Amino acid sequence: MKPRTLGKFAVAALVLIVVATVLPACQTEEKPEIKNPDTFIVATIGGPETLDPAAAYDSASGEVLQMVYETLIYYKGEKTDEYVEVLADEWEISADGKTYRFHIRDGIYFHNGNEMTPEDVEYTFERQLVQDYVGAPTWMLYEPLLGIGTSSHVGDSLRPLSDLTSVVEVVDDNWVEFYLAAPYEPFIQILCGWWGGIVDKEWCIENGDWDGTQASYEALNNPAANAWPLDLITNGTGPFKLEYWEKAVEVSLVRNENYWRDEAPFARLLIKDVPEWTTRKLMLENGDCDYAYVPTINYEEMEGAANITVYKDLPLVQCEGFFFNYEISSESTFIGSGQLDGNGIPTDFFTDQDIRKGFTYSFDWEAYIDDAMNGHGVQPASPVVKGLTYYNPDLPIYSHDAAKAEEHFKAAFGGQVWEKGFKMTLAYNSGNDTRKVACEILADNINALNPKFQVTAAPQEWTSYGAQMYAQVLPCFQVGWIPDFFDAHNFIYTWMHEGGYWAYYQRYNNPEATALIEKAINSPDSDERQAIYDQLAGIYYDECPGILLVQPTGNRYFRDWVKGFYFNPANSANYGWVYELEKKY
Amino acid sequence: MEFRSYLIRRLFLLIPVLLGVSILIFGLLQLFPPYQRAMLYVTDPRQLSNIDEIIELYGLNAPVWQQYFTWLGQVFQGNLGWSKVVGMSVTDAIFNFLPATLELAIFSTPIIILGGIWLGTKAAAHKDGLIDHTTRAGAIVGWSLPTFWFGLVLLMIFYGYFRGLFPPERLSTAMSVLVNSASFTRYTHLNFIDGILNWEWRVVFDSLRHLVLPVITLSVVNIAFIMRLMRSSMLESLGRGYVLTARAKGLPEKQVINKHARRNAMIPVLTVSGYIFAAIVNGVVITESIFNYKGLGWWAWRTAIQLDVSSILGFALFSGVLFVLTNLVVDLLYAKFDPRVRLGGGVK
Repeated sequence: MKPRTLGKFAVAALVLIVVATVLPACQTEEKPEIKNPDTFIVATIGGPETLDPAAAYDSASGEVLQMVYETLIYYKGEKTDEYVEVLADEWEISADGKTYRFHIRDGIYFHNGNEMTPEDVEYTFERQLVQDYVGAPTWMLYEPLLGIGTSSHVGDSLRPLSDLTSVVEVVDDNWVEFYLAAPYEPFIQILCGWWGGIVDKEWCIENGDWDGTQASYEALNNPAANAWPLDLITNGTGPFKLEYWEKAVEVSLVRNENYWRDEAPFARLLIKDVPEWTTRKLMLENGDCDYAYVPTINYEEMEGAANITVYKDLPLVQCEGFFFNYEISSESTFIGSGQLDGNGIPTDFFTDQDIRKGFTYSFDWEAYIDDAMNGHGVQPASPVVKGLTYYNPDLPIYSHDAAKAEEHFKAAFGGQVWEKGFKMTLAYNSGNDTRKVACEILADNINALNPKFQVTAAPQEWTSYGAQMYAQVLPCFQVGWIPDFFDAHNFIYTWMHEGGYWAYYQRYNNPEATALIEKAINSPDSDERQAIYDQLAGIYYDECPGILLVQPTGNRYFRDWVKGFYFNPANSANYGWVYELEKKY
Repeated sequence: MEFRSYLIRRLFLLIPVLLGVSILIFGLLQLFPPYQRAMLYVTDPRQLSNIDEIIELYGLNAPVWQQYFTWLGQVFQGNLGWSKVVGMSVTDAIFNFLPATLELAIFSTPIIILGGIWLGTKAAAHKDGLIDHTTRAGAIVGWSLPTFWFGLVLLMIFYGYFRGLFPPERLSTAMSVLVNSASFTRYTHLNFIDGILNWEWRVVFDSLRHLVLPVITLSVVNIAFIMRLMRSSMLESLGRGYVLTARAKGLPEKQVINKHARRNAMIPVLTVSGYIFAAIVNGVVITESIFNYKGLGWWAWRTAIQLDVSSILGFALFSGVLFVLTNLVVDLLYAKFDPRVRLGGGVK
């Protein structure tokens, strides 16, 4: 190398070294300047699936919709059983619990400038009943208002339009009334969900939505996914309006300058999709976002991070369950020979209560919550978890007990199980380490009881896992539930009603439980409801159709300049209600 | 004339090659059980509970050749399915994510190729000298660096330690909002080009600032490859008679190396360069994932970890076609510029 070139290299290297040494030294210990003071930036994973409030059923969509649209009433602060008036300024429930009346506020305008009227309120709910997309939250309106399940179909034909339009009416003097089929206590909570966000009738019709006619009803009922007219556009009354949505990148909402309450504290709310954890973490550390989603496994890594405010151990209203399949498909590849011959299990294996109890007593909650959840969770006693109405903290719970497990396995199938042994595979969706650990704990503890017991755990891709669960192929499955509303009914129905989401896929069918659930929801008497839910918890405990694994707790991580966060599980956004947040020291 | 008939022949040959690619990809699909193949056609959660109906409807239990033609028919209509991960059709997703990756390729390919050629030439010209040893050692290190590790280290230093000097993603918050605003027209979705066309230099500089780390990550690894190839090719060339002649004529060493030796040594390098460009356009999965740089590679990563079957197949098909086309272009260039490649088998 020529001396001149060497010299150039040396100078370049020297400059680099000086820069590397001096730059960090320039950083002072003072609080860093607040970045983007007028914008609230969120780094999270995933994005909305749709912006139609009548179709969206995922929290990422809800997160946007709750900023853009407003409901008649909403939960008060941190409460899920107290309410504040929003678009309604007065409301009442009739003595028989079957008529809900709302007085609609005057002088509220949609983002496009149209005035919000009681007719818009009526149209909002009718439009939703008309659209009735199967993957949508509309069942929550059908059940209380029409007393039927989730579909507008009767046999192969559509339910008469007049049935749908007669359950909500504008009555004189700006009042809107809902007529319920029977008393339904959580109806008021249902109206707080983003699916209760009021839309602009005129604007909807302009954009090709339901125009009130039979033909339009037939054309728009249960359309294909993402084919609904409001899929990509919004027009609400909320504190923010949609600026743009770049799919898989970000959603930008800007302040509604004509908002009927005080203006939003930020000119813009930007929700970014950042799936890579390290990037999200660095963005938070650099102040390039104000809130970042931190997965449970990364909580420890965030301990003591500078300039970060952490809200710890928030009680998430969720429940993770392990469900025994009562009618395993004979095509299942997880049940070995499919016989009780020591090399498999029969398809009705889990109809034997002793098997279910043997499995349940073999589960070690302490190890699971410590190892898989890093201590971030509690063992539930009933599907009615803490945070729901009618939660009872004094119910019995199972605990790991090898002796009792052995006793039940010895009694199962008249002693044949213990004598011949059995072989099966517990599947979990790959990548979900929490579920993997649960399967492994169960498998290890069961196998330790008898050398003839051969339980293994195997990963399945998520789509395949879901499809196999629906097809009854999995002998057991592990899934969770997050609330639609905060009433015991939402969880107990899912777990124990013959038509409940999880109960159906495990083919759990206890007519007594189903009848009790139906009685409870239509009872106007809180004491009676409490007694029934406690009774149902007792049935779940005795019959043991599944293992109640954990009710998780969660942390939230903000830049320390973000103030005003409080936790309400009803907010779709994990960072709370942006309208009440601030950026300041 | 000869070149034109060669071109036509090659274009015809594309048909069986592309069919081969489609058969391979379809074959891959057959490795999935019918449940998962049915997921290709699921666009609606309600369909999930009727998987058997879907299997029936799309004939997933039909003979394989029949299934192949049904699938191919859909592909020809541009229907590659729905990419659930990003909420758009697979075709839309490819067009949506391609510009970001193209931007990355446009900046990194010249650095890789020119840098590799320059370093390779230097190393060969100073064989066994300090430069040679340094560049060779550098090449070994560069080639062996795991991309995910190197990218993360760069990110931690230049974004973490230096507080946002070179940030991840494609644009900073303010610029992202700007390009999405009504006053900005996104002609190409290549941010730096759109920035120039809109006369918004802030966008141009911001997009360049975001390109620095991914381009470095890609370049360090790939430059090593080109450099080594160039070096060996150069050494071979330097030992040839025409170089000796050039030297004997008394030409300056610089001219001998740059004009006589290097030009000839570049032919194999150019061949490989085509593939490098194609590989980058195909999406550099790890680099794009680390820097949250939303291009084809990022999309491929998201779809792969969520087993979004239709997207994976669409992506594989796109990659296959792109490689076949690149191969064609490289071969044509070869035929055009390398006189040693004889066309039509005749002796010239």
